[in-house]
Amino acid sequence: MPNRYPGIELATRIVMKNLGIELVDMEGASCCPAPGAFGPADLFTWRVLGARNLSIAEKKGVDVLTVCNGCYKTLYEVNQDLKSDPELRERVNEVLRPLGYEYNGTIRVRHIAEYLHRDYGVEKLRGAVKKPLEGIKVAVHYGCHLMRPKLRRELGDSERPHLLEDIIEATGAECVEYKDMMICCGAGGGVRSYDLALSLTLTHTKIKNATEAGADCMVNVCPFCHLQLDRGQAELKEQWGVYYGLPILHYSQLLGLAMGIPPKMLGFEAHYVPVDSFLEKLKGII
Amino acid sequence: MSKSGGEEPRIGVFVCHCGTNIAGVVDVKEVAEYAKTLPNVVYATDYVYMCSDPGQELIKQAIKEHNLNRIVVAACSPRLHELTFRRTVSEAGLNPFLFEQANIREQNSWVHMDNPEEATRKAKDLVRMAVAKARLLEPLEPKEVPVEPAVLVIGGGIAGIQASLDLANKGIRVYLVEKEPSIGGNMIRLDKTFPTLDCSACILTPKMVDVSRHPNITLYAYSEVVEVDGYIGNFDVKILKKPRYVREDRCTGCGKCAEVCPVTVPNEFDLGLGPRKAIYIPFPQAVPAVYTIDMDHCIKCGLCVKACGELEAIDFDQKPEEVNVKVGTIIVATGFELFDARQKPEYGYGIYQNVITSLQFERLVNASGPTGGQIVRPSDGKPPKSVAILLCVGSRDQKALPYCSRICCMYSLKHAHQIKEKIPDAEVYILYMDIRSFGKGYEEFYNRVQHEGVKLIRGRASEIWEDPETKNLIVRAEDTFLGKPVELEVEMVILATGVIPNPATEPIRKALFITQSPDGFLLEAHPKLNPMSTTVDGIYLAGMCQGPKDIPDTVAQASAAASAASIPILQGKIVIEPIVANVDENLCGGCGICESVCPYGAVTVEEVGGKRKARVNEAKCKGCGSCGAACPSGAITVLHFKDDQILAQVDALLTG
Amino acid sequence: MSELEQMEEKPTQRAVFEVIRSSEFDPEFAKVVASSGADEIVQCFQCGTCTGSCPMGRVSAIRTRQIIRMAVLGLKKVLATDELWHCTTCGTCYDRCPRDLKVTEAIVVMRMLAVREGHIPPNLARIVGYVYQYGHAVPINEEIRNLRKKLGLSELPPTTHSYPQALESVQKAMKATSIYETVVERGKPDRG
Repeated sequence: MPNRYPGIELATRIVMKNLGIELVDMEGASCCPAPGAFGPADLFTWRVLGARNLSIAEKKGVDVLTVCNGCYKTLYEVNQDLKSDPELRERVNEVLRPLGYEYNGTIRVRHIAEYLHRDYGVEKLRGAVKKPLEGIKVAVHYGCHLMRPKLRRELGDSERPHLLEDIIEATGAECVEYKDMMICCGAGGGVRSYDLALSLTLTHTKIKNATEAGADCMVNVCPFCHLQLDRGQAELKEQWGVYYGLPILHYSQLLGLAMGIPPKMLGFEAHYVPVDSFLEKLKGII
Repeated sequence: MSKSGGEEPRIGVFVCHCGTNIAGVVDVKEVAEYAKTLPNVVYATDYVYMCSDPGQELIKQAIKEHNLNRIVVAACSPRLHELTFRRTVSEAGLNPFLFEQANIREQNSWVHMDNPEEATRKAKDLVRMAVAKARLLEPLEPKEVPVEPAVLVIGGGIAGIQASLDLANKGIRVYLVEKEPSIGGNMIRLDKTFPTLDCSACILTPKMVDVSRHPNITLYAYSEVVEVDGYIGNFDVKILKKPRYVREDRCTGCGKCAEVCPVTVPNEFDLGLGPRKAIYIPFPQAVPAVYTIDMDHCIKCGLCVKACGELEAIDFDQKPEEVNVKVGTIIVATGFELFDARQKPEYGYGIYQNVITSLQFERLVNASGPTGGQIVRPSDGKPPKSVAILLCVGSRDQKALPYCSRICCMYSLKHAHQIKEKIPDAEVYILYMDIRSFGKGYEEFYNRVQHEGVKLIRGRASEIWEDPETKNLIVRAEDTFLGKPVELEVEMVILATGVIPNPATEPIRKALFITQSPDGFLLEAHPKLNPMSTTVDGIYLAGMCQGPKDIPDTVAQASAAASAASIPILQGKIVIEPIVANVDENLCGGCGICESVCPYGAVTVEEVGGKRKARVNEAKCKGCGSCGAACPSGAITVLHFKDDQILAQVDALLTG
Repeated sequence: MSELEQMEEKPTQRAVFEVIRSSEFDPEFAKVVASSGADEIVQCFQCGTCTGSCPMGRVSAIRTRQIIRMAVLGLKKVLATDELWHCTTCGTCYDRCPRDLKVTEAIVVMRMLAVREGHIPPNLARIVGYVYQYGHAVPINEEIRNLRKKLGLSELPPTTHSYPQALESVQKAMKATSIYETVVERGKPDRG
């Protein structure tokens, strides 16, 4: 997020501040590391680096909040593994201790969508919306690792969830159903970097179906999905000669708009698909 | 006359080879020689099959020749042959409870095959312990209790109907209790039955009528069993007759009331596919043919009262009525329900109109169903030109029901056949993992359905989505034979939902102190040799409540349960095993812990001369010993497993 | 490309059918798969729910069920397949598997075993290399530095980018595990 879409970072910081939630930086954190793109290289190392990140938050005595499904998967699952398996925790700590880190399994990891829905509360969130985005049709993109695998999450059913719908509708926008809504953006598991053309086939399916369903934008909760859905459209244009121009927004950005944060503070200039037409639609509102 | 236990113990020890089952591992001769060295043992020997006629004769001879008054047999588990050897010693004139069996097979030779030396040592330990207990054994006298010549049958589906008719035809009084307004269960909902395709109602309604007319059957429909007390031979049963608000003695079933009733609600019997009125019978052939008012929806407009006229059958003031009956035995036949397909949201049941369950399809295709037997899809009422049938919805699924529901393969093949019969140009797909067509004529039926052009795709459906415009459904799966994902666009989907125990069984199970297996179905006494009995004497099982089964198996089990339930009644009395808990009232403080731990409801705390004392119902007591172990004052002992007997065994183990 | 697809493409060409002989079943490989965290896959009953659920399976030759099958039988050549790397780890198969197999996790385990066998996709080596070099799989660039400044954020995020010592600890941690040897060193571009 900070290295590709700093607008999402800024939007998150402002939104949370406006909601009265204090965010604490995890200084010196590294990549989570990426579950699919890094994990297979060595699952133990993946857990070690994940634990190192967790230990930074633990030392500060705060829980971890992620705005990314990939980070969520890594940190949530590593946290779960280390909490339930003391032997693994010890092996991980054997690597970390000489480096000045240790993870004791005392904190929780939450995704911002989960936090806003469960902890902050949908009603309260609705109350914080100053400019309801009425008339805006949103195609919801959950991404995979927020809800799946459901047996390793506590967020309920992954087939027809409504977690994101609830917090999106709190902004006043309307969610539109589209075919294959729950499929992957195409990028995950290292596929984007392994075989870009292949990954774009799924991106194309999603963007096409959402456009046909009349969506004004697609909202995600993961900067990596965001990248695939946004930059992917530019790549599809280049490689396939098809272009949909469907604006892609991270939920923090959407909520930011609904809370009246000026668009220029949401970092849209980093987007490949211009959001101008979308902002045009919002003209009467924001 | 049985010899009493008063004299000096003279113990005989008999070590069984069980062919090579024991002797192949344990040095049986050495064990027998060792036994001779134990105190009070005056005779010991070994033999190849102790349970055989010559083996038993050997014991009897030894009792006479050596004047033995305690017998120890070291052989298999007492669960198998304790009764055999009790009879043997009894025939030789000893009290049958002066016998002790040491298990040196299941608990020794079979589990220590690799270690014969240790196994022999362990066999000696076990024999030494048995001898130690034998020394302290006391003669016990079994008791007899009379049996009430009547049977309670809970559940009026095909299982309960069959069992009731069998019993009634033997001349035994039957009380049949059904919670719904009519008997018939799930079978009466079905259209045709596999593999012979007889009409389900045509074969069932004559039996339903027989039930209603049989002089030996008292039918309590729209009633529930709320309390059961007692034990084999003497159960007291409390039945609650729910108010129908229509008097059974006056209603003729003419239906004029329903004609004028202004309230229409979905009919549960048709699984919501068709309507009924607030005053209704669930289906035309209902037994009893008595109307019922659904007070949740009735607006008390009084139109029905007018229509009923002089019959005056409608009674808005009817109250629940309690009926008490006494029976000797009980048959549980509480049946099943369908797995809730909403738990597999990937299939869209309850969201997509044209995704229906197999039981809904039975109502659709049934001539007396809401469409008069026309197969139409719910969204537009048109006959579907393509249908996909998804097997194993909920079944064989670790995330839902781990077991096979056993009927779905066959009824789905039947459904495919019925669609082809009524809509010949329809394309029918069955998505399956395995086709389990194991019964008589089943494989042949499978073959026939294939011949009719039904396309079987070997792959479990992954997901369904609906085309919002056409309301058609796209079913995704892998054709595992081709090794390719497939997408089937069809106009209707039938989910072959698995079966679960009827939730209404649970309170009955608790009231009867019977147990369930991990799958939630009721547990049989023995999975092979006694599948129609429970572990509680006098209570038997019939049909789906014990596990998924088709109609032939249900009927067979129901007849078996009826036969088993009639045995104590025809005998007129039952013998109660004297191994029961015994309360020393001088020590009992009436704390009631025993009552709370008893799994059979056999111990109760009652007022005795102004003081609370534990009482054991010997007919209900199974001698499990839970109360004895929990009793804080040592007031309860279990006969044949008294503290001194058990401690003698422990001492013998530790001092060997 | 599967045999069938080849046949479809060139109807005149005779496909090469092969007999899979039991001598190819490597029980050691099956054991390694099991001991690496996918022990439950032997319970697979090949229903195909995974393949049918797989979004990638509709556009690529990945057949999840067959990957699991090969692993169960000990057919080690599964590690050398291109398709093993087509899975986006979306977890749909995992969520729907009626045998409750952790399908996606099994695939990641097999990828890890493939890496140990030397089948290291260049992108994997590159990403691991980035994490080693910067602490980020996606390091910052000039353009984003400028945008961050413009937005009023710190030019560099408060991560390993801003804390060299933290980066050093990431590198030491990676050196302390096998990943440096197996991936960072072996996967360097100059070694092909």
